Amino acid sequence: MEWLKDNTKKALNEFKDLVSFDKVTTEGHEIILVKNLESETTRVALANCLLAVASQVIQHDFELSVLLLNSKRDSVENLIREIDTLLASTHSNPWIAEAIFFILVVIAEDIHSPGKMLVHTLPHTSATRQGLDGTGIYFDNLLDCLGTAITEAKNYDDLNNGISNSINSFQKIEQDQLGAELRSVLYGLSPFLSTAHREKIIGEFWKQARTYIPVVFFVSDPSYRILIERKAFAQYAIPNTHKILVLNEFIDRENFYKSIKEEMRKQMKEWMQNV
Amino acid sequence: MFDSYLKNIIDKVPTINEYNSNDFRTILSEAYLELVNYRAHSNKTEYVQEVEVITSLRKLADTFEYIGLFNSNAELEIKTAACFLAAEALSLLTQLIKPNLQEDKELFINNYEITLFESGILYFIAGYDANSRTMIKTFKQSINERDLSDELKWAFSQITNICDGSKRLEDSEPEPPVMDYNLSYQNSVTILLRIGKIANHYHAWLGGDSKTPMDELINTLDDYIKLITKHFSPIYAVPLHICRLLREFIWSTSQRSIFHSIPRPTNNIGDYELFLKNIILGGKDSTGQLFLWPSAQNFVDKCLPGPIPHSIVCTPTGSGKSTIAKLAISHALNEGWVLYLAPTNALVH
Repeated sequence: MEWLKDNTKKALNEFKDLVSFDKVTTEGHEIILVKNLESETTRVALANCLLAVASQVIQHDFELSVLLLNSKRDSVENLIREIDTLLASTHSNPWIAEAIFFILVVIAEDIHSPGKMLVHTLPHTSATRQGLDGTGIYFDNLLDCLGTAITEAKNYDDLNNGISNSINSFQKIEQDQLGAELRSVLYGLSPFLSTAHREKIIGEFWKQARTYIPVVFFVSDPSYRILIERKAFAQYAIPNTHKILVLNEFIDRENFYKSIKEEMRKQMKEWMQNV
Repeated sequence: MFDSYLKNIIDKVPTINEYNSNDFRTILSEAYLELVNYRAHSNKTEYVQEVEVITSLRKLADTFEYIGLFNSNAELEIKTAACFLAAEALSLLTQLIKPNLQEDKELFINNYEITLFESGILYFIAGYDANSRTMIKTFKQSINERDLSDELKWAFSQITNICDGSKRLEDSEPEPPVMDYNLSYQNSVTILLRIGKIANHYHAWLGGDSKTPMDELINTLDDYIKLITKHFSPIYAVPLHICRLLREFIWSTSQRSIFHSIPRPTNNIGDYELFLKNIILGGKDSTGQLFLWPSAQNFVDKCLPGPIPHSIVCTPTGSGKSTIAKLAISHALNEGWVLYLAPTNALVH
């Protein structure tokens, strides 16, 4: 599916030119305000990027299934059917939210100011497991070591509830309620690091450098005071620069998801004509 | 908190970022005290759990499990010590973290159960079979008391049956679920069923009932590890981790398999293997034993049949002196006779 990869590169570049970020530093945390996600001009490129992410994840599942079960499911028709199922599921909006953050990390290194993201998990399409939304390994410029970037993406109408709930969800990490899964994901990502980074990883587990990244998709309201300090963040003993609140503001969030899914379906129909 | 034997084991682990074995022992001791405190306050809502202790245990576990499982350059005794340290940290963690966080039906084994399971496997790799059995028993209780799929229960029981000396189940691998769940869940379950099947074959090998060479089982696991890594996704992280644990478990424990590591006498090999199988299966009054414990392995290496002709075995009650005696007697009877002396009539009876 080389044509899909070429299309994706083009779409990523287009999307990169269309979205922008405002960075604000408060005393207690960093804020990234993502701009222009909702615009109609962004929709085609974003839908294409989302399709590429979904295809890659599902393609991995297909290939694994073929090798484990000798099944023959890796056709474009099956791929499209799986993506259709994803878009029709109750899990579709949370998945799109996670995937958008993943795409932002890919296109904009500076979205994660503590250091360059070296590897990051793809947003998984399965709704059968609850757990970590996104996990990456980055090089921490401040602490001079490898660190773990942990993302929690949330859709909320109310900004303040969204922020509090997503920030509080990192307690699961602090209290080791997701410790085994986080460790397994890091072990799983480590083969994708460069040899030099991999050799350092034993000591880096000990340092436990990390960033907490709540990503909130909320409905715009002029009464919101976006730049205020967030008390919930104070409970975490990591540097304030490592608490990164990513805010995506929408006038009509439900319509955004609906129109993005429509665009993705439209592009899938075009795929079929290319097969 | 640790006797001199355990202290010597822990002292073998490398220094990590200027922290040494004394610091690691201190972390474990502080966590134990925290646990005592936690239990004393378990009915009081005002007790705030010490996050720092939990964090220290987690980093101790992650760091040394990585050395034990992934560092192919580390010497065997360092890997063993690292696995022991990780097992201790995880064992304490299981007692500090809450077992059931999610009220929703969980389709997969949860954080608490994974931690119990890996602590049990790491203890076994380190040669601490009794500690392992305690963790594995709690793990089995946890997964059997809730609504986990039969496929997953079957897969894990193939491994836990080896750890706790249960009888091997004959080949009866369930079919992976087909359309009930999505593809990634189906893949995850299939991986675990394949892992279970390998564990079942290993169990057969340990009992002297399998023609599949142990190396072949390890190679198959290596193939799975490569395959899952290539198609890595967070949903496969735990199955991949269990694959790696089983690989190390098979590799390290196979070296102390009773059936395969005891040298055969020159005569009556068939009868001798039947005798070994009786030890492995156990009898009416005794449970089966698949593995030599480290002290027994030391005896076998040095004395069965030589080069050391004389030995005194001095180990705690229940640590396998009788098994050593049985093995020594069985070899000696092939060559001549045995005089068995006991200090009291009660012991003779």
